Amino acid sequence: MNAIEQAMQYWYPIGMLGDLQRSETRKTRLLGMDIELKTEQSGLISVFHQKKPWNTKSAYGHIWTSPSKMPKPLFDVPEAGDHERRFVPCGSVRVRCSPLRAVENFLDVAHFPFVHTDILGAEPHTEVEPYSVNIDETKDEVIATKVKFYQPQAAKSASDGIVTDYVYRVPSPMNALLYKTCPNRDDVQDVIAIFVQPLDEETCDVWPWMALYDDQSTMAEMIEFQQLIFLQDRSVLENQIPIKLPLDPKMEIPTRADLTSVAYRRWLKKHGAIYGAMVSSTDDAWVAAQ
Amino acid sequence: MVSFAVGLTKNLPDGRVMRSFVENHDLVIWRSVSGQLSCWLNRCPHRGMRLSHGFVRGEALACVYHGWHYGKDTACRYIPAHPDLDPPGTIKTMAFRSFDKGGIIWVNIDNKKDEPIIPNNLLSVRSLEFRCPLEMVEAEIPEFEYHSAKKGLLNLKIKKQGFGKWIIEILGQGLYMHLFLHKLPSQKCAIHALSNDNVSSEQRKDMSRLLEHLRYVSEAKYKVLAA
Ligand code: FES
Ligand SMILES: [Fe+2]
Repeated sequence: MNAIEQAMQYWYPIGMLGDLQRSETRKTRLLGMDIELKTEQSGLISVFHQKKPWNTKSAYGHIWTSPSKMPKPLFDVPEAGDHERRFVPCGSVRVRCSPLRAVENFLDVAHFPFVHTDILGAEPHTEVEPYSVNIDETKDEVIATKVKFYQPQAAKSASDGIVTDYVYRVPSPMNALLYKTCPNRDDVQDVIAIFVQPLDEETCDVWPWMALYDDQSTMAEMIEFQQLIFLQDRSVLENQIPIKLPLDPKMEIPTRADLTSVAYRRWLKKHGAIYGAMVSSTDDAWVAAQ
Repeated sequence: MVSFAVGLTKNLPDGRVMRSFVENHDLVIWRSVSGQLSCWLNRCPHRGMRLSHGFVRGEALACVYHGWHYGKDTACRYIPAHPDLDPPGTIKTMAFRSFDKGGIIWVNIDNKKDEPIIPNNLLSVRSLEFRCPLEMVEAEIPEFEYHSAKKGLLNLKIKKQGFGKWIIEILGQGLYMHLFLHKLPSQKCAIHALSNDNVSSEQRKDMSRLLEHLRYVSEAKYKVLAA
């Protein structure tokens, strides 16, 4: 199975449910293929590539599609059934980077003080304490637990700095979720996800989605907060060389703080999930960058 | 290989960072707080971030992504995620020889000793980026004519002085301008210009307008050609 065939087995987000107009056709792209997202007058949604229909489904505030006739099941987010939460789809951000780099950045806390200065982190609180990373064998997911980080403003609703606890889940190569300390309640955790739509190997639309316990902020405020964070991420994501995610351990230098990234890269390699990855250091684009 | 002019010394003050290119190498050029110049490959060994987005902390350049600090000797000195760790000596950036001479920042990508010949007493005029290839500008310079608002058509004596280097003499005024051409990626280039030290700041402003006109003419011709 080559990179694109492997990638074609999954579901991908291509639009926000609340954002579609009746009797409307939108054009977008997935895995280098042009597709059309059609909403009928009746509200029925369908997706076509070269006039052929693809599978679609609605979940977690988004429309998902897959080029495969028999896609792998979409991952489960149990919190999506919790009606005490507010569900916040945030729209999309176009990023000129590999979809895999976008996911890896989402799994990283060490950049908070430098990229999200005075919001998700601040010097001198830069230390990343040891945490655990596993592969959940039954669900086949990368899981990082006991990640702790000091944050000046962990969420829109936070008024003071707190040490935030994080759990990360990567249920499929281009989707990731985090569970973090909720600033208002200590018995529950907020959920933030990024669903990544790979337009091609070097461009993606990132669809953040949140399921929060926040009864103070308006929807617009919560979206604005998440968009600000993501625009800050984009400024680094569009400036990493090479654009594709390197899977050869010789190409970049991880430390203990990067354990999640190391596990993610290994897991991608094991699955042959290399759409958006650079597999070897003999790749021309890598050699040219030296 | 010769040294390449990549910018004016005056445009990179102490504690500042810039991005440049030589022969398709993406470079970061920075000056420490004490004034030491360095030029490295524009890529952080940690996760590939362009170091030109980073910031200077004392005698180190810090990457903007996770804040790793690199000293002037290219070695990683500090990893903020592990404040107590002494980073292994193998974590290094890749350096190229760089130096200031005659008001210009020079980079020598094969690290051979090559001292460009340039008078030491020149004054900076300006650096100007052109949205057209260097060859286009090189072809334009010998033909170049300029009507000054005050003095009318200037009598210019234009001489090529070697690789990417031109001298424009404004006859009758005894004024000299030195142009250093700099090839950039994506069909662009830059000119780093200086003058002799007898040129007043008012006259350097005139020279700067002359350069703008050269840019206007070169870009216009390129647009026609590219269309
Ligand atoms: S990429 Fe430079 S410090 Fe991480
Ligand atoms: Fe981030």
